[in-house]
Amino acid sequence: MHLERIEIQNFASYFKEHSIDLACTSDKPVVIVLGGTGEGKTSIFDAINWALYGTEYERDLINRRMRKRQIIDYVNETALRDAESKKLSVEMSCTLYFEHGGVHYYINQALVAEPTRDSDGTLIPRQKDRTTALYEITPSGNHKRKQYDAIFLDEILPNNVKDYFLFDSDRIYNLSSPGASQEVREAIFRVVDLELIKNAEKHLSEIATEFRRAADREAKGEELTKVSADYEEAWENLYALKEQEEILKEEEQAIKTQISKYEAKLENLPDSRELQGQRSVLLNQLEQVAGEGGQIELLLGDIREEATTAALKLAADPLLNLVTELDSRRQKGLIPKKVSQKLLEDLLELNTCICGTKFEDGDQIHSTLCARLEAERGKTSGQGQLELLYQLSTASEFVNDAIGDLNKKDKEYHRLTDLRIELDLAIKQLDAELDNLPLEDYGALTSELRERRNAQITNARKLQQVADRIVDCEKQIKALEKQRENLGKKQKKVRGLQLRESLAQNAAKKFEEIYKVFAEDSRQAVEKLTKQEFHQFVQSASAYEVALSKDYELQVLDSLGNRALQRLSMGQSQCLSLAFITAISRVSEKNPPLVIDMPFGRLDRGVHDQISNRLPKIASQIILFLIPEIEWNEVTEKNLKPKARHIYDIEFDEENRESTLVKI
Amino acid sequence: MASKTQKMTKSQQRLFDLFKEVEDEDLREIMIEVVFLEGKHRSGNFPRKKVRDIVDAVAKLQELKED
Repeated sequence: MHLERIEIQNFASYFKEHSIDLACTSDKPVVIVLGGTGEGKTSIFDAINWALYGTEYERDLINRRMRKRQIIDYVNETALRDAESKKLSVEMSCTLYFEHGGVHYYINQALVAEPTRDSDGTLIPRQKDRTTALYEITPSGNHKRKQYDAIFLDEILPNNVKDYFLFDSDRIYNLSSPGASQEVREAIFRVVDLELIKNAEKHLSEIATEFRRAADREAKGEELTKVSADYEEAWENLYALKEQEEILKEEEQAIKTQISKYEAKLENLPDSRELQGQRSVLLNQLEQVAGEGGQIELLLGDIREEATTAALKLAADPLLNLVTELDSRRQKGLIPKKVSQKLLEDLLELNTCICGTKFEDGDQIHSTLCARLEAERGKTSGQGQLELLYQLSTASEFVNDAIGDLNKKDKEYHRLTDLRIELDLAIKQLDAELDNLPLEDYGALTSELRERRNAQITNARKLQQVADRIVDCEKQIKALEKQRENLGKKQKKVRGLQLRESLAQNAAKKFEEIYKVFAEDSRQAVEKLTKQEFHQFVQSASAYEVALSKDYELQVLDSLGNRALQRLSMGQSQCLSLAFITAISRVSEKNPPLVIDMPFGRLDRGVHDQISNRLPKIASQIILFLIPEIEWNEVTEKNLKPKARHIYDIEFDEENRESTLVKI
Repeated sequence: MASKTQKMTKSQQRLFDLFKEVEDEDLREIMIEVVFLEGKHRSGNFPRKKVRDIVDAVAKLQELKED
């Protein structure tokens, strides 16, 4: 199937007629539609679906979990207002042109609505008419009307299969999340036509039952009647047992899904124990460092007191210069003899050292100065300054030692302060990691998991018991069948009905056998292709292996064979889903167009390159709806633009809420 | 109606090969006809009567051979 063009009229935010060329070539298989949120991108996606599936899609719209809508809600508001002012009806339509099997068709879905006012006075559309038309365009250019029905679409792209080719980013993400095995199984079941075989088996079994009951009604003679009744009862039992078996198998699948989910949670959860352990260690270290830091702080206090003597060091050089100057002046007779004695007496009176440092009576500076004064008084001439100089030199040595000690302690204090900051930061990071973990605790999860595993064992036991009873029932049926056949041989009509019953039943049994083989073949084929495609999408993930289990669980294994699905980034998970969809499409060989609404919406830019590089290679026609800047950026543009046959930009008029398509 | 003469896919070919392994010709015929019918009516309104007719037709042929 190849989409060629879509024409929309008064649909959603598109007033009047708009046309989008969707045709692609093998070297340019991509069509891109760019538009911001709410500007009409998804409406085109809806238009394609509605055009193809008509009322079936209208039912899907109503049954959607999110964004539930009725098709009448899509009537363009401007067109409705315009129709009201002119007292006319408004027609909304979508026409999709496509090619399938070398033949060109178009489907037109149209809805005629009347503008009315509801009780609040709001203008609303009321459906007046609804039509669907399918036409074939013959090679000579004639338009031949065809019957549009589900049979036609089933041959091209069945409704229950379309969701794997026309989808949004939520759907592709869900396929690879833990516990999605049911959805994966259903995807393969539908796309690879396993559904057909299962239904064939079911329908033939039903027909066999009808023939059997007809034969029993025709049966004459007490013995044959009794055997027929027992035979019928045995079949009823067998159907009931098989139904029970189906229910138990579904239950088994559901339990396995739950176990997968709990295991996934637990695989993340044990880190909390480790993290909490690390946190305790860091807290102890922090306490220790805080203690050491506190002690050093006290020590520094003492040292700073002692460091007041360091002020003398500061004064030493200027003092020396002063002394030299004084001496020289004295020798020249410019300064009286006893100036140093006078200077010292003044300093002591002021309780202030020459450098400005205050001192108290009895402290070291005071004692030093007093001693100097005494010495000065005892001197004859010039000796005082020399002695002062000597004292200053001694003091400066003392001060140097004190400064050295102070520097060491300061360094140590800074080191401890830095360490404290580092430990604080590490603890904060651990707290953040712990905050992001699930709220359930380890104990509760393991308890739930244990319960599920026990339920799994019980279920398996019941399944085995039912399987054993089915075998016994089938043996009983075979025995009764033989009796019935022998007795029925005498009655022609009964014999005829028994023959038909036998043919239908045996054909159903063969379908059952073929189903098992075909299902396994399909699973293996899908697994192989998914692996290949995944590595094409994510070349950096070569360490990972993809597996599709017999229970249809899509799994990723690391190099040690451990499950690693939870370790995949969101982008890698999306790639896994896309790989799976590509695989089922290839296995089914249906080769429909892929229409994806916002494929990069959930992903960071790092993954955009991988996906946008690979997308044009996975299908012969890909239609992408992208948000500008977020999804259409320099990376995706570089990869997709050379492969794009058409690129459209939606221009949105905010005032009138109207969209227009511009080809760029 | 969409083209009737489409090439068989690998998957269909595999299914066809599995059908060929069914030794009973009559069963094989019933199976192929029913699967074809299933493919045409997978969206709903399956014509069960047609399955009955297929089985009936094969049974009649068997009865004729016996006679």
